[in-house]
Amino acid sequence: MNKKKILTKINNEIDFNPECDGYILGFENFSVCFEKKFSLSEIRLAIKKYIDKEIFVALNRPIFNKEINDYKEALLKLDKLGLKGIIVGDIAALTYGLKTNLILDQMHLNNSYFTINHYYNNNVNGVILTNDITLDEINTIKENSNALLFKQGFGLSHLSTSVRKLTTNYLKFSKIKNADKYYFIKEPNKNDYYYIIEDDFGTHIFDSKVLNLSLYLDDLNVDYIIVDSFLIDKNKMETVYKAFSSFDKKFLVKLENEPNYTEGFINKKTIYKVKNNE
Amino acid sequence: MNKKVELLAPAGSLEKLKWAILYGADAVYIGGTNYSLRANAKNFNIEEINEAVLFAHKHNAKVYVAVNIVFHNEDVKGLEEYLVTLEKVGVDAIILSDPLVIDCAKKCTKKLELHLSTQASVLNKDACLYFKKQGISRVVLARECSKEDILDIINSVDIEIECFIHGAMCTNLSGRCVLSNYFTNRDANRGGCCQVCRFNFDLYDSSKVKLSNEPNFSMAPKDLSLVNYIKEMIDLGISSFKLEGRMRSVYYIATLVSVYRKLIDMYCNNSYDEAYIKKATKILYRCANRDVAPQFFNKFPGEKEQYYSGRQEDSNQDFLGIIIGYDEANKKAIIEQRNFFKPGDKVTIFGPGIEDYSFVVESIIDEEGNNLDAARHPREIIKISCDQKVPINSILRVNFLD
Repeated sequence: MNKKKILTKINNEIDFNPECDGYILGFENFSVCFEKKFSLSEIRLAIKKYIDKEIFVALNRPIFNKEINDYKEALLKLDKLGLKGIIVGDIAALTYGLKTNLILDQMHLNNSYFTINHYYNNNVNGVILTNDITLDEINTIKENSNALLFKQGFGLSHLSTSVRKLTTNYLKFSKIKNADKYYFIKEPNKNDYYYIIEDDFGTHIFDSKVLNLSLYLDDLNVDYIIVDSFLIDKNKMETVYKAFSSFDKKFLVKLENEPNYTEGFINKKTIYKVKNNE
Repeated sequence: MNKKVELLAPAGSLEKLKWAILYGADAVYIGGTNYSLRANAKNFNIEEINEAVLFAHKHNAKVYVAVNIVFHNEDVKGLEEYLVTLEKVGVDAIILSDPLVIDCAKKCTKKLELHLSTQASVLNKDACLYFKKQGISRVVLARECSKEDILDIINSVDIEIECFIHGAMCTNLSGRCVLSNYFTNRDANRGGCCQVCRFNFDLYDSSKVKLSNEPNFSMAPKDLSLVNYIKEMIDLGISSFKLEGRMRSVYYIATLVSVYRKLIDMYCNNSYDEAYIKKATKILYRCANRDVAPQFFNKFPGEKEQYYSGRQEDSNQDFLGIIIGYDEANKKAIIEQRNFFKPGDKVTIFGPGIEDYSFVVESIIDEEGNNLDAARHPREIIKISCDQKVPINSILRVNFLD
């Protein structure tokens, strides 16, 4: 078995799972889709505490022009910490001459090895792959690129990000008082409940089912598998971590039988021409 | 005064391209049959692109071709040949979002300009700087930029900046949305977007309790319109004003282009007329029949800039016909009819190079000279009394202003 490194996104203390190879920490002000975000001093402490782990910090969102100076300053400070990598969501980061490995996470924009190689040739060391490409596409990328590849193996798939406060606007308009941490949207007459959550940056929508690629751990030719507990019942995570870190069949089987899990697009291609106009 | 701003219009077909240019667009953007984000539009084959370029250049206009999908491995096949062909037929620029197109264009073309699509969601000056170093000559900024953002970017980076000024908007950051992929399997970033953000949903709390009995949670923003900010936008130093709508009708394109052409020219000729802006606002509203807002330009949009029960869009029959000739002897406009009208109706003719001309229809006759009590048949050729000589390709519409 080609064992990949397992990274967990830290949403909760439980995500500092000792059997995993490293951790991804959200950074205050510049991260999205983390239940917990870390300050610079907390990141320093985490580096010291988890000395045998690979620590990545994520600034995984686009940056507004008015934030750009603070963003650059934050990156320059993080660059001095000896992190394994900094995950960035904005191309601006590529212009600062950072020494730390830069990992690009543009959500859904890097889907081919040609694109990934463009960035690899411009100071990017790795890329977090989107969840909307197939196993074959991923493995073809690996065969044709020297970039480090990161792939979410478990967790809710991100579907969209708006900078607007979509649920707050609706609740205001409808005069409904509610302050839940997250909501669901559902099409009338269908049964899929999609997560919708707001944060300081805007509104994000996630899949109705949890992506579970535990069956593909061997086949996926990537360097890192990411396990993300974002919005997921943390009681379920112990089994997930055991399955992903040990590849132990008895835990993997448990995951296989969860009805609310999905393989996403790993074996399903998207289409884009629905009629031929040519 | 800054360099004169470019008015850039969408063209979903050769016919629309010609209308956009005749009505005053300085440049048009089109999609080829591959690689463009409107995969299900008619789009242009190479022969049509060639014809488009010839027509545009003859009228001193430019043609930009969208090559703006987010590529998968398999999509790259044929790209190099395509770019070479675009350059050969004289296309002025390509609009791209995926940087692999930059690498490919650098390798196989010499003079094709490279514009970065709004699909890349560039919001800041340092990202502009990155793309400038890669060879991009123009960035189409994300529609989420404010006027302060735009000004700072223009002052900081020596690169052309293009901004949308009118049309539909994505709810989400362009390129950062795959709702369509998950709801319908249609790939949003390869031209298959089915606009899930315009669906109506039920909203549930975190315990899955429905928050309203109406399925009225929609995320769609109102359309963008910066008709009231043209002066400010020109002063910011924006290079190109972009109109959205490659899938829109000839009437929509002609109306938008004529209104914004007039506003730009007025300002550049020091004849800015506040009264016309009020008229223009109404004309633009009637044209699409949707609520509009300046969105991110002057403030962060809130609940008033969003629709809650889908997009309200009432169709109207304002578009009455196209002027195909003028009978000077009898002072009659010859018209190819589009929508119903009758004698006594108030109408307006607008077109390239003429002031809007409003009058009441006195009579309608058919091609044989028979009097008609109404124009009822789309595409029928009719004549109406019209004292002023009006040029071919002008448009007859309902006069909703007086």
